Amino acid sequence: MGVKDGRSFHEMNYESGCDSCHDNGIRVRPSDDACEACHDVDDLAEATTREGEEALQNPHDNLHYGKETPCTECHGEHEAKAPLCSECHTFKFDAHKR
Amino acid sequence: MSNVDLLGRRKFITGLGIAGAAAATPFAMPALASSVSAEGVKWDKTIDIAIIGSGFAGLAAGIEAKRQGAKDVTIFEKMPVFGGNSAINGGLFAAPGTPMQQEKGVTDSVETMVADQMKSGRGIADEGLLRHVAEHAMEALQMTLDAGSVYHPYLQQLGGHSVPRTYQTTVSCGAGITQPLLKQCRKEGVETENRVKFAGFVLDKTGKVEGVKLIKGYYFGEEDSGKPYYVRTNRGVIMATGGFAQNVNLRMAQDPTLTAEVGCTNAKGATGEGMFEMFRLGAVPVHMAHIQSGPWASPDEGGFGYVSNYSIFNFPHSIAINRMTGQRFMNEIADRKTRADAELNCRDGNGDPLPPIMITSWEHAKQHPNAKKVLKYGVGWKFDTLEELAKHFDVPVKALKQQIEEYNGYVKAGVDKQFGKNMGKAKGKYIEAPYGVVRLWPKVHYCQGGVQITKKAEVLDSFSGAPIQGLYAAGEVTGGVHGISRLGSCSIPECMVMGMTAARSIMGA
Ligand SMILES: Cc1cc2nc3c(=O)[nH]c(=O)nc-3n(C[C@H](O)[C@H](O)[C@H](O)COP(=O)(O)OP(=O)(O)OC[C@H]3O[C@@H](n4cnc5c(N)ncnc54)[C@H](O)[C@@H]3O)c2cc1C
Repeated sequence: MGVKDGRSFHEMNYESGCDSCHDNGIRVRPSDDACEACHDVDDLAEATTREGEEALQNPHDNLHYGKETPCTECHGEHEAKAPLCSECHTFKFDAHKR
Repeated sequence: MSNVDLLGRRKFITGLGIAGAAAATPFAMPALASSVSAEGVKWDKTIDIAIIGSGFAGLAAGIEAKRQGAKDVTIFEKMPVFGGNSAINGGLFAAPGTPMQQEKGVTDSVETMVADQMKSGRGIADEGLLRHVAEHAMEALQMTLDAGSVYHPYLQQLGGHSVPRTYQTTVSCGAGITQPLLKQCRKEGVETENRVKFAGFVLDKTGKVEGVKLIKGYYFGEEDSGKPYYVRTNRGVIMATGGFAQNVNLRMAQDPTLTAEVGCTNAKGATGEGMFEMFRLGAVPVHMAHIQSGPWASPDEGGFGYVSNYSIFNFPHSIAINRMTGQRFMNEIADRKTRADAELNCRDGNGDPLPPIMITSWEHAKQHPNAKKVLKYGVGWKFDTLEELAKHFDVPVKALKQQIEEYNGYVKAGVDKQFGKNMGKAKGKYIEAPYGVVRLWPKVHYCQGGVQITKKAEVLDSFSGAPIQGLYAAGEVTGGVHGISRLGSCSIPECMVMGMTAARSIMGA
C-alpha cells in the first residue's frame, strides 16, 4: 500500500490525492464504480468491439456478464491482473493493460 | 510444437492452484460464520425477502416474489459478478409438453420426463419433487421467454431422455437466461447487491429465521474483507447458494477420489458455506456423496471450456489413449463415473497425472461446431500423420499404430472386444489421418447432494421433521432431487421452478 506503481496516464489522480480514486477510504478498495467517474463503460465497450464469432468476447460487454464486470476484476492499478475470461478461456487480449 | 504441450501442462497446474486456494477458504470461515440469536442484534435494514445467490434459482425467486406482491426483495451475491454457475452453464433446458414439441410432433408428458429421471436416479431420486418440477417446467421456460431469452429453433435429445425435450439458448450458454432474468428482476423492482456474502442466520426466540448476517464489501478469497451487515426479513430467507464442487475438502470428505487433482467446471463461488449453515441450523443432509464428474473436460482450459461439448459429441467414434502405453484404457462411452475414474488412473512414471488423449478422424471431428474453436484457442490439435501425433504427446508410436489397427477392426466388426463399447454410432467411422486430438481430464461438475426440501421449498429440520420457519431453499444447494445421477438439462428447470415455488410459499400463494 502507498506504493504508486500505477499507470502513467493516471498521474493526475496521484497528484490530486489517493482519495480521488479511493472513494471508500484510503485503506480499502475503491467502490466498483469508482473508475466510472472518468471512464464510460459504453465508450470502452465500443472501443473493444469484436466481430463475428468473437462478438460476445468483448471484455467490456460480454456474453456472461454484459457490461457489469467490475473494472478491478481484470485491471489492477497497483498490481498486475489477468483478464477474468482467462479463468476459463484462452482468448487473446493483446491490448489488455494488466 | 512442444511449447504448446508445456503451455497445457502449466495451465493444468495453475488450475490445481485455483482449486487448492478455494479449498482453503471455507475452513478459515466457520469461526466467523454461524447463526446467532436476534437478541441484541442491531438491524441495519428490514426487507420482505432476502434471497442469497443470483443463479437461476435466486433470479426466478426474485421475479416471482415481486409478481406475488412482495415489497422489498433483495438478491445478495458474494461474488463481484452475478449469475454463479448458471451464468456459465450450457444453456440446455428440458421441459415436457412445450410448444416446440407440439410443432415437431413429439409426444411427451410430465410422467415420461419423471420416468426418465427416476431411471437415471437409480431408485433414490425424489419422485414427488421431480414431478413438481416437471409440472411447472413450462412456466419457468415461459418466464425466460418473456424476459427475452432466445432459443435454437430445434430440440435436442440428450443422454437418458426418451424423447427430444431440450431447448438450448442460441448462445449455447446459461447467460442467455441469467442476463435477461437479471434485467427482468431489476425492472420489477428487485434489488441486486454484489460482493455481499451470507455469513449466518439470525434467529428469534422460537428458532424462527428472523434475518441474516451478511458481510458487505466482501472480496472473494479475502476472508477478512468487508463489514457485518444485519438484514431483518419480514417474510423469509431463500437460500439459492448453489453447489460445493469448488470446495475440495468438503467434496473429498464425501468422495475421497475427488482430490485437488481433479479439475472443476464450476464458478469459483461454488464453495457451499450457505448449505453448511443450514446444516448447522438443523437441515437434513441428503445424498452428499453423489458428486458428478465430467470425463469430457480438458486440462488445457478452465471450466467447461470448448472441449467438453466437442468431446461429448466425438466420444462415440473416437479412441481415448493412455500416453504411457499407447493403448486404449476405457469404453469411451461408458457412464460418467466409470470414465472419470479410468482417466484419473492415467499417470506417468512418477505417479503424476498424465492426461490421456482422445483421437478422432478430423473428418468426423470437424462436424462439431467447436472443432474450429479448439484449434483456434490452442486446446486441441490436428496432425497429418500418426508419427507427428505420437511425437507431440510422447506416445509409443508402434503400440499406438497397433491399437488403431485393432480398433478399426472393431469398427468393421461392430464389436469392441477390448472394452465392450457400443459400436453402433461408430459404424463406418474408422480412425484415419488427419487426426484431431484433445487432452482429457475429469472435472467435478455437479453436486446431487444438499439440504432436504419439501415440494414447497421448505427446509426440514432433522430433529422435529417440521419445516424450519422463515427458511426456504432452491436449486443446486438442495439435495436428493435427482438421486445418483442427474440427467443433462434438468437442472435449469429444477432451479427455476423451485425458486419460483419458494417465492410462492413465502407469499402464501
Ligand atoms: C459448466 C456447467 C455447465 C452446465 N450446463 C448445464 C446445462 O446445460 N443444463 C442444465 O440443466 N444444467 C447445467 N449445469 C448445472 C447447472 O448450471 C447448475 O446446477 C445451476 O446453475 C445451479 O443454479 P443455482 O441457482 O442453484 O446456483 P448458482 O447458479 O451456482 O448460483 C449460486 C450463487 O450463490 C452465490 N453464493 C454462494 N455462497 C454464497 C454466500 N455465502 N453468500 C452470497 N452468495 C453466495 C454464488 O456465488 C452463486 O453466484 C451446468 C453446470 C456447469 C458448471
